[in-house]
Amino acid sequence: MSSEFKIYNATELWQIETSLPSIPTFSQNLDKVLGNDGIQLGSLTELLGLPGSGKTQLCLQLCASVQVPKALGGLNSEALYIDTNSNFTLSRFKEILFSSLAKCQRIMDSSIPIREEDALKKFHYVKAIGLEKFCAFLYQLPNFIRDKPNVKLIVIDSIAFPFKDGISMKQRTGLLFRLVADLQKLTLKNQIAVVLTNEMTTRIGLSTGAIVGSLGDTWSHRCNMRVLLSAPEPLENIRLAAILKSNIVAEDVGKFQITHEGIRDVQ
Amino acid sequence: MNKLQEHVYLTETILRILKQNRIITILDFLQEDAEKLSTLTKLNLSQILEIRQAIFNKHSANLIIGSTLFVNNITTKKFILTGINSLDTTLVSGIPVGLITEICGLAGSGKSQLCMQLAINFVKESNNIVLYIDTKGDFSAVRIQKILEAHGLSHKDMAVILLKIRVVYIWNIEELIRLLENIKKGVLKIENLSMIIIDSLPCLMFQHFGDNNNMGLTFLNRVINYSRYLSKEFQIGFIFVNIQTRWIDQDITDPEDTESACSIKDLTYNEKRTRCLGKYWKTIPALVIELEKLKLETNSCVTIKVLVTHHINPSAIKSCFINVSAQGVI
Amino acid sequence: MTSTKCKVESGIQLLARLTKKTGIQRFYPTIFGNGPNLGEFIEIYSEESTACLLAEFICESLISNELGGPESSVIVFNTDGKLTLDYLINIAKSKILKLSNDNTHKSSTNNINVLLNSILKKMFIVDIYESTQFYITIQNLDFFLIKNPNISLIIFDTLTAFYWDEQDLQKVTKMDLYIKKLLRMIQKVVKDFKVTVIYSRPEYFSTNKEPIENLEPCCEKPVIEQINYRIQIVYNDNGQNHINVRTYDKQFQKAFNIINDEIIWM
Repeated sequence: MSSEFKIYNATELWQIETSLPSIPTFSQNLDKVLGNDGIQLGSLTELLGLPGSGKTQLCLQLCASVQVPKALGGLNSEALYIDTNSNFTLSRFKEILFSSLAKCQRIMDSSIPIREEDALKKFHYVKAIGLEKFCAFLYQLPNFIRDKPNVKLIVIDSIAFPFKDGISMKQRTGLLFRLVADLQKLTLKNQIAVVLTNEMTTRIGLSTGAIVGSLGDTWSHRCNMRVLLSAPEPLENIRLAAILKSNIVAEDVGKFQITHEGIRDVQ
Repeated sequence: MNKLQEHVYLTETILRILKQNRIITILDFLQEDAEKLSTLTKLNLSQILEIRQAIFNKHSANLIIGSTLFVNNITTKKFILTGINSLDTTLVSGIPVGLITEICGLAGSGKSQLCMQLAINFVKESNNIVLYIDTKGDFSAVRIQKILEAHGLSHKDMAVILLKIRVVYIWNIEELIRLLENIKKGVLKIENLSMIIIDSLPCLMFQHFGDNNNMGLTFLNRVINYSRYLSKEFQIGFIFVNIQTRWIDQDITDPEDTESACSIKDLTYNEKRTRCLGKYWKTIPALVIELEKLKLETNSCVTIKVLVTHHINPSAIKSCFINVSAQGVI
Repeated sequence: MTSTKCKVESGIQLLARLTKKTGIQRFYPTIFGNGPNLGEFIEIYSEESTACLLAEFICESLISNELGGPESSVIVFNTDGKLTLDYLINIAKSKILKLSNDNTHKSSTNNINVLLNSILKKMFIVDIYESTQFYITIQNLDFFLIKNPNISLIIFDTLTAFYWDEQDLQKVTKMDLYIKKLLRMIQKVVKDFKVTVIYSRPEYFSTNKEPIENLEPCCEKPVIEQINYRIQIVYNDNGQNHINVRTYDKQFQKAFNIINDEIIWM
């Protein structure tokens, strides 16, 4: 009688963790701070920040980065974008996507054109506004992934929005933790990176400052990596990314800027 | 509670008669007067006594005399050193074997880092195996390998250590119960298992929040039952990771206390921390290790304050400091 | 044949009942005065661990006659308590040393070990890991008590370890009723024997979350489903710990420190 549980040893996990590259942010500084040269597959990363701090922009960039050709050490894979707060604009994504691919082509010095329609086909967009639609989609996510095995990035923008109204705090915690457990079980097994955006809220009196990520202290433990994005100069394009919590890397602050091409290093 | 089962004397007919008389479980059988049972079942008294004895043989615990326990105890390992000097000094003997230990702290206070370092330290100079039960994907083999590399280990030595750290992913509390049950029953055999680390328990328990029932606590009770069994009978240490949350206690200071004649009441905020998992869990661990990250300004390492509380004297809290860096937790 | 076997059983039982056995009266006068009497039930509760007080009671009841103790035997039901043999041995050793020095007895290591060994022979531990085992082992208590007639003290650490495991979706038993049901079961099993029972529970485990004076009153004599002593252990951050003791007719406090994991009354 064998057990239903697969017991790995750390050597096997090391091989799995190092078998595929990470998803680059196109800012070398930020990639270095994130450790592993980008967002690691199989990990759960949370992006926090006030509106305008660059969460959605960074997500769009990652959706483009996941398509970097293998010849450049990329994944040549697909992305799934789950939109719960309507911050997504297709025009902006196209702008970032085509700039990123053009940059790749310049580096590769390749004459083979990357067709824009093909690139867009590798991006899957799902609008899941409201808690019901959100849960319904996540419920059938395993089927979705089975049909699209090349998906290596799932973005949920944002994770807090569906839970804003109509649910008690306890129920929210219960549902959220169940959803994320199912999600991570799927993405760890299939080596898919998950990036969630979260909003800020106010809790007066905390010693670390009144502005914190929403969904509470219980949620703050959940993700493997928590990145706080901020805009030091409100009208400028420069952004800071502070690692609040990580299972693999020390706390540090990265710097990048948002250009019309997407995320890039500060010159 | 187990129901009465078919026995050489307890035929289906007899069981049905007993059921009609509301004697359904083995406890009902034991609590009923033997003479009455004999009359009901038409079995003779010695047969009834035989059935009673069979139930006791199967389900009753054994009385162990202290002197036997003492003799058996002499050679068993009762503590496992953590391998982190300041922590071992504060703990005096190390992590207890046969009892439950808790590591708690706010988000980012270094719990998973400490657990990964403990896993390394528990296996590195022995044949011991550690089982790391990961419920949130925080275990990183690459991080472990980088720590070992920073200490100058050869590839071969690194591989030996990595092989002794076993990881299993558990996504809900029912899975955890089945896993522990499988280890108890020998379905899942792990040779030389010396420590089980569960990172983290709230991830599983929070999934039951908001339900209008207490299933979460029922499952937690079962996890604790199995953990106690495994830790005692298999002689292993059990570490559970718990989290802390913060809440604000608003204190209103008495205006008479302030020096100025100001009549506006001053609101001061008292930040308090709670260990999660509630009142039931609170008195379960024999040892609680609380981590608190300090806000020091070094880039290369983070200092963490550790508060250690043994259950016997809850007011005697000892503290020490550990550092987390690229070389792991020291 | 079979009925003869039955008569032999109850003969042993009768013998156990009639045997002159040392109870544990006056074993801990600081708290119980001239008691506790046989058949009485004592509850200990605390927000933190009850281990230090239980260890006190266990070790004091085991102290041999030559050192002035009751030399009784004890069964400890270990459910989710955290008493370890090492801890009990340390407390026992400390007590033996103190009493040996007082008695101008030879406090040589050899003698201490002999005394310790005789204590260990009178201590019985039962490890319980799940609910069914708990109930069945309680039913088996009379067999344990017949076989070891010198047992005068039974400890349940704790009594409430399997409560949540036994609840189901449909109904949740009130905590007070749960304890009463268990008390009734235990009382029924031990009623023919001369024993005192002490059990511990966490402080929250009460339907009524009131301070000790407002909880259900204690009885003077053993009564089904009732207890005779209620002891609350309160720990304080600055080491100013105390117990609140309630009996049928009085309530008092006693302050203590814990030094080297042992209770020292102030």
